[in-house]
Amino acid sequence: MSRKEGALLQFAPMQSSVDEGFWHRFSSLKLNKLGIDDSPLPIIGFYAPCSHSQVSNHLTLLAESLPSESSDSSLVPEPSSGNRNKCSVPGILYNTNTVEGFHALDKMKLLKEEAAKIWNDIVTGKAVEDCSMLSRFLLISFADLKKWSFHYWFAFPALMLDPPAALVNLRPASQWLSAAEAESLSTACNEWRNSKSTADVPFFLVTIDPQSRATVRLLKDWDACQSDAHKILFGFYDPCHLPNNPGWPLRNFLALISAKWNLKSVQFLCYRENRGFADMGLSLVGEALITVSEGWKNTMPNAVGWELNKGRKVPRCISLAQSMDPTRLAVSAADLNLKLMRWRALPSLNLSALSSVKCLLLGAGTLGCQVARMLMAWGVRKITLVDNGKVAMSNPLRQSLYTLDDCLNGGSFKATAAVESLKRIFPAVEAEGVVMAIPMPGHPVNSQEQESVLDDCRRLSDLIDAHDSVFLLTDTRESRWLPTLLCANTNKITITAALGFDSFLVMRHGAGPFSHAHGFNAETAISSSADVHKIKDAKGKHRLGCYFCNDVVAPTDSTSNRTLDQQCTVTRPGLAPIASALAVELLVSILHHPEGIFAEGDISNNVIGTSEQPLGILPHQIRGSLAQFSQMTLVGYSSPSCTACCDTVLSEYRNKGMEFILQAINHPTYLEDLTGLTELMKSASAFSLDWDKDDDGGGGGDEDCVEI
Amino acid sequence: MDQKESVRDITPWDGTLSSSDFFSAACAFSEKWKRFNAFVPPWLWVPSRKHHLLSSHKEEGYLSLEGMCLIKSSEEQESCRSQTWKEESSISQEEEAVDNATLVQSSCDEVNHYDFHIVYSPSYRVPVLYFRSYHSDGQPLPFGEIEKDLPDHSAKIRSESKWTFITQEEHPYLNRPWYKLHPCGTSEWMKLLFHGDTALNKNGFVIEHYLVSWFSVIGQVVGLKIPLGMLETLSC
Repeated sequence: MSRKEGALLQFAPMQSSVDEGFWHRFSSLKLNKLGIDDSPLPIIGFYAPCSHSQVSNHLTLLAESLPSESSDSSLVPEPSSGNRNKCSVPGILYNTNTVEGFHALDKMKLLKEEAAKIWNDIVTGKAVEDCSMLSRFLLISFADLKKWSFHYWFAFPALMLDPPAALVNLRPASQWLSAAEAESLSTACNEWRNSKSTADVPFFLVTIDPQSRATVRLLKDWDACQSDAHKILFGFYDPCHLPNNPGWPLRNFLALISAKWNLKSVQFLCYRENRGFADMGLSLVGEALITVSEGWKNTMPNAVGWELNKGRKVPRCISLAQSMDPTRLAVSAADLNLKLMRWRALPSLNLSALSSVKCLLLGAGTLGCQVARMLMAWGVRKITLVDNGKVAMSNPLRQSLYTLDDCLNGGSFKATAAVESLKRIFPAVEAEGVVMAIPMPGHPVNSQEQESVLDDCRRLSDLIDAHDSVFLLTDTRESRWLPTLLCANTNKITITAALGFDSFLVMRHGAGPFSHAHGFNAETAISSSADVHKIKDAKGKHRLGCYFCNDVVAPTDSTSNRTLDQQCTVTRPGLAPIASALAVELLVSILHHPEGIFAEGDISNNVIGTSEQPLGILPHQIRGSLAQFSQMTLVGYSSPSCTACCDTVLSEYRNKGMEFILQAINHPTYLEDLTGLTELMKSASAFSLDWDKDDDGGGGGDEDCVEI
Repeated sequence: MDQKESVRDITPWDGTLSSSDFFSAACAFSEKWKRFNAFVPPWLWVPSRKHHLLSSHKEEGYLSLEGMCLIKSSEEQESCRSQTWKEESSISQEEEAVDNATLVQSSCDEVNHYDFHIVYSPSYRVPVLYFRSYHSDGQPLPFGEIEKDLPDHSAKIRSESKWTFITQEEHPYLNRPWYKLHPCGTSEWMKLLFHGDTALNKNGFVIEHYLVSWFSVIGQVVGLKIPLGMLETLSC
């Protein structure tokens, strides 16, 4: 399409493209080498002739635009040469250390400085020797290395002709050249582009002799071209694809042609390719008319060239947090791990249930540390640890979240140290530590302490309400009582782990006796029958037992009157990791069972009742022995006289609230009287028969336990 | 040598490639691609710049196909992709000279650029396709955007086959997260493609055609077509 004579020659602006790799390397340079040094940095940009009829080529920055990171190399990037797809042009980077500094940069001054360099190269003839100087560019930036976002702004300085050049005509090269000329020029250009010495030279001269032979030459051969009465074209690699406009590099090229060679009428060739070969249909030939005054070249011309951002004169911003923020990378790697498990082995794995379940760990000792780690491995993110103790010197060996540093200066609080440790392992964990003692029956409190103990009770109750699953991992039996009661009252998933010297118990508590409080799958609220000793749960099934269901004595003070070493951790070290791991696997199985807390207890090797659940069976109790290297699954049902979860006790709690708790704490026989255990024992001792233990639980194991 | 060959004849082929076989396969593939694909950018071998204990291993590297463009029409773009800036860092009209020679372009189409790399995985002993996408200014595309560009049957293939899924992992040479088609099932279906025919293992037939066969499957997931001519060289 030819244009009317006298129309203004309008150039398509150069467009920038910054590869992610550039910012990665720049961040690295800044952190390792540059520090706060904000002196200008020489960089290299790359562009090539347009190779696509609909997409312009861009001035691109890559990782290799920057100097190498190795400490012994200078702060100058290694230039590449001879690459036909990467014509190197020099640039300069001004990176500020603050965003305010970025906005405060004097942009016009910087633009003028770079334009002055180009003008200087033109006037001294350096641009003829090394024509890539004509496309020199400027980049200002602010790299926010905390948020991994980069603010930047390119300028492609263009010297302005005054008055601006006029466009005489512009059309595809194939229309301007004869067929023979076009073929010859294509061949010559392809040779030029395939030769290592000229492939990346972006400005050149084309001479066409009367025999239609085209030759491509370097700019410095200008004088040689004069002698022949040939057609001369000023050619340049045009990154622009538009059919009616030449690309930006032509601006400084015209300035050079006018200043150096004083031409008024310039025939130019916008060289473009298609799929790597010269294309005379996409390439354009045009004629420009330069009408600058005589004195124009005596002073430095004005310059323009700041890149627009979607039409506005504002900088750009790119966020690379997704690929650079180590925390995000850790999160996506962890997620990938679990997803692979789901894709390859367990399609029914419910990852969203795991990532949303809120777990409360009572106890941050040997069991607590291991349970927390295992939970994180399963993708659980919300973990709260409760412990009132401090890390002691012997702890780090067995309690896997602590190191020696946590023991110094009297020792950090376990709950706090554990949370910090979890965050060091996986920063995206949402972990909280609560330094608090759990009120225990059999440890009476005097009236001064009463209020604070009641506070602790309420706090514990609130904590349990706020979580979905509770792990009882404390080191005494009686400290498990109140949590068990509160969990039974609200039907929370409750898992107990308890250790003996060389044996362990891991169990899940059954559902509480009431149906309407936060039931897992309690669809139908069974109308409360007057059945006082409710042993059935909301689904009418026989409730599974809790930790205390098999007790015949209420929890009392088991810690005083024991020698110090009996109070301390004395178990085979392998037990805690085994029990903790089983506790977490048990939770995962519950979360994947359609009936959740109401699920019946499975027993392994039970052919008839083999679970069809993808994760396998869901036991009630697992008891293991290291002495035998053995493990067995058991089922125990709830006891109507249980001091922690029976209907009587819970009703009393619901009626009397904290008063009831206080009574239980202060009066050792209160619970036994309440549940009728006292009566039971009286009547039992009246007989001389052995007890017929009608459940498999074997509560006798508890007395052997010195829990951790 | 002879002994090696006879062992290879006897043991059933497990669908995998050695590292040097990968290099041969890559050369064969890129050469065929160029022959049958005049109008698409070629696959280029990029040698690795990692140091080796032994002398120069030009065989370490990967195949690269870069600069595939997907032009999105204006309606498909999100309205405010980039951060909206207040004019705190702009240039006032008085400062910059009045310039009528710059073409003012009305909203142009957004282009999604795609780069593809075929990288050898030493642990799975198979090739793996890595890819990434970015806008013209360099901003990387999130996977949700990439999924819109993938052909319809890609989602179907990925959901049906337990062997084909896209993960984001660190590129082994570039140390940046790229998307990849996870290779855990590759050896299985490569075995199927060659009908587990051990006879094919002779004369390097498998090596020569490995990547073409592999690509005929993988390409479908990312919408890269393989010309029929290339596939026909497989029939025997």
